[in-house]
Amino acid sequence: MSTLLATQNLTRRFGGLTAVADFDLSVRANEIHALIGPNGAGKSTAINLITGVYRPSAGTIEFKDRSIVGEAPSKITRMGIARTFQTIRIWRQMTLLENVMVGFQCRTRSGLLDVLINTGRCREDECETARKAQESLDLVGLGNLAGELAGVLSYGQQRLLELARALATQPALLLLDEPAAGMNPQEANFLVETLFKIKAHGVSILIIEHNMKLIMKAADRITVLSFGKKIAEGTPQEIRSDKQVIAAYLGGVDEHAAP
Amino acid sequence: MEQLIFNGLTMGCIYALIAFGFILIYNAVGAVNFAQGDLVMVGSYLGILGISYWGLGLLSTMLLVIVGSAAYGYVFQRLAYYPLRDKPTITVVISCLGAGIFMKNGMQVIAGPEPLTMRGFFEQETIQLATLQVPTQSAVIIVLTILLFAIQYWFFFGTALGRRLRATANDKYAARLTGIRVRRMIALAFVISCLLAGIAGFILVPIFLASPSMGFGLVVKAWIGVVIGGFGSVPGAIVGGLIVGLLETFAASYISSAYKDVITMLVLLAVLFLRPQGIFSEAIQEKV
Amino acid sequence: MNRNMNRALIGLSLAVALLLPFTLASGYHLRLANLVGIYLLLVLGLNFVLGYTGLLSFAQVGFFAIGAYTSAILTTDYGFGFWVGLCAAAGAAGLASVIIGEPVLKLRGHYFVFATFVLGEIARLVAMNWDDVTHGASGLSGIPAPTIGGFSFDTDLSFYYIVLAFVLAGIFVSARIEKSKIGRALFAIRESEIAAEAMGIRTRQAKQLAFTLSAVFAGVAGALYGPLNTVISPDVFSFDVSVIVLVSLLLGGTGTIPGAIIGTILITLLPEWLRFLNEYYMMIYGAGIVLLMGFLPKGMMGVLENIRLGKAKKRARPRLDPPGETRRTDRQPGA
Repeated sequence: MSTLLATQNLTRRFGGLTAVADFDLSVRANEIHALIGPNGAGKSTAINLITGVYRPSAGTIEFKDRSIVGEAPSKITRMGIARTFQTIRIWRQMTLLENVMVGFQCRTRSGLLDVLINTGRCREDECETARKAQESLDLVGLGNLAGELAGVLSYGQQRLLELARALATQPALLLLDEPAAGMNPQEANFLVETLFKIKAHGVSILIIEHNMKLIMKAADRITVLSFGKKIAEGTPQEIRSDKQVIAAYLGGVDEHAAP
Repeated sequence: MEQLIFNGLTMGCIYALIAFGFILIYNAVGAVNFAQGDLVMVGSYLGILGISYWGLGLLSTMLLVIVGSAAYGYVFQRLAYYPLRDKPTITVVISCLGAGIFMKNGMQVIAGPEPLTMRGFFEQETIQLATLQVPTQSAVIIVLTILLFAIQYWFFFGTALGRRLRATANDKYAARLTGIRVRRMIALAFVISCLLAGIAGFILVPIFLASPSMGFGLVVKAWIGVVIGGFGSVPGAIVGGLIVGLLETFAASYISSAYKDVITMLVLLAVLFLRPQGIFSEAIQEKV
Repeated sequence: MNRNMNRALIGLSLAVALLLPFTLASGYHLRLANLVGIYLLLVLGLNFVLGYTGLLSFAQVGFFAIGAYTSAILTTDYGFGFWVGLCAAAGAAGLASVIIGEPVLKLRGHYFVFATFVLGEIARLVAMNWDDVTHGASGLSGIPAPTIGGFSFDTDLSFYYIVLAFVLAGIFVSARIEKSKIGRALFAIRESEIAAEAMGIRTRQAKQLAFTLSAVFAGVAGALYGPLNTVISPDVFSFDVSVIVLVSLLLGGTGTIPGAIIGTILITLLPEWLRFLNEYYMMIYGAGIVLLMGFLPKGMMGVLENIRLGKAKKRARPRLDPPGETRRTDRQPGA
């Protein structure tokens, strides 16, 4: 299995606080990789480092064997890494379709002149963009709401919209920051199915989540962060019984508790 | 040279007072108050009303200015800010802009567009300070400004009410959670802001010339001071205001009186491009 | 609003616009119509920056001044023709926006607003003081009208059609951009720049494009203003112009082309209709802005928008039933 994304010694300091320290992560192709840890462990920071929102204080990040440190976030997206946000950032005044179309836009070539003269290329791009956007919406189950304004969606649906939008950028790697937050069990199950569909399309996923059921069901591998450091990595089975992980989450190992 | 410094500090004090009031409102509600200069103008006209029209004494007029400005500040906040308190800040900004236009033209209707002035506060034109002959009014302005800021410092750091106001400015929601009546605190911020603007307007008249449109030029200088000193920072507003006063005076003297405004603005642009957080403020990062 | 109704409305407006000069009572009203056209270009320009991209810019008057002075200087002091002056005006304003945009567009929030405000003021101050080039406070006069072939458009009536042509071009450009990927990118930036970045949009470039478009529109407006007024002087280009442009857009509806048109017409014509108020007019103007923000923050088009959003919520509501009520497994969540 080839490595899609690899970080080495990734470190980020904010003044006196080290949010992420010496973090080695590798995400393989065709994998759903979960990143878990207690609040404040540095998970979102890691995503922000990978997507170029923050610059690392130290360490390297390589995507498809190429360093992406110092690149602008929009460039990194165009290179093939897409993301969703912990706090939902959909564009409420635009329709669902428009939201997702924006995701696909970075893959079209028409420019200002094309737009003004309405060249054939522009028209084709618009058609293709709308088509791809609809496909993305259908994948997450929001296809029949394509013409509605995004502001009318429920919380869970908004998260799915963000997912559809990120997918429309045609990424090789998808970074999801707590996509199941606020979802009820049925919605969360649907999300897991959707993740499998995405993986089947050839897209790798790095997912931050607190919903353990979801993680155990969906993830191929799990990396655990605590206070900015990696404390465990492995399959869901291995992580579930790892003493350090249990200690990090619960603050101590109870020998009498069932594994 | 000392003369220049003194002159610069005089206008600087006025700008500092306006900038301080401006920052009070900004910290309280997050909006840039375009009408701050017009609030100064109201103070000027209250002063003229007292001294020139009603023939009141100095202290009585000052009292009139204080009470009038405070009341005016309350009304201003009630009409231009309060109805919009839950709407996006940009609506408040534009509303204040509109209120300023209303004030400016209202005063023009009441008092006419011609500039007015009044005598200095004291009979003596100048007083002797060490080796300098300084205009008495300038000395009055500087002394009064120091006094006002001293009172402000005592109020904000030495009284319970001032502490509550600072808490509100820092974080409205947290303040509400500790039982502070945020609405009142915001009203208070506006009142204090207008008070300072009004007094600044009053003491300014003898050396400046009051007219309905005087506010614009003043508030622009105050803003420049706020940015140079550090947006959102209170000591920054004061220091920035003084710097602008000095900058202006020196630019007029050494370079050109006509271009002094351009130079001041270029300095503002330089600060915006090189160090937007000014002297005291920290660069703000949005949480992702 | 279906497409046929839209098309009919556009056709009707076009007909009205073309026939307008013949229905107006006096030359004064015709001049006013020309002024509306020029202001409309300024407002459409602002629409790119404020309406689509969400950036409050007070720089319009600055670019307006650059356009007006560039073309006036070239046509009166150097004897170039109107069209050369116009191209130079658009070019100068555009170039200024690129040079200025580089540092200014990096600024956020209030800093950006201040910077644009200062730019507008600097333009006026330079016009006032750079006597050698701009003739200082006295300004320039005798600005020539456009000519095509031998025909000179030096009457209000003929000039109206020149202005109209540019207004229609401006509307066309705005409409094309609004419906396109560029428009979507700008809306995305307005709603959340961080999200737009994350979706692969080159936000710096997009903002620069909006800024430059607004500048070019203002530059053209400036070039048209010269012949209309035949004189220009620094006091025309004060902050008040930026405020009028802003209020026009706000009143009509920020981010919409019909809003820009309605707002501009109202703001330019209101002083005429309310002439009887004399000096009280400006007070009412100021109070009106406050009330506008309180009651119609999205302008007249916003009222329509709210109706649309209300209808959308009503239509979507049946699908927003809680998942517990759905029995079939192939239904989408929340549907």
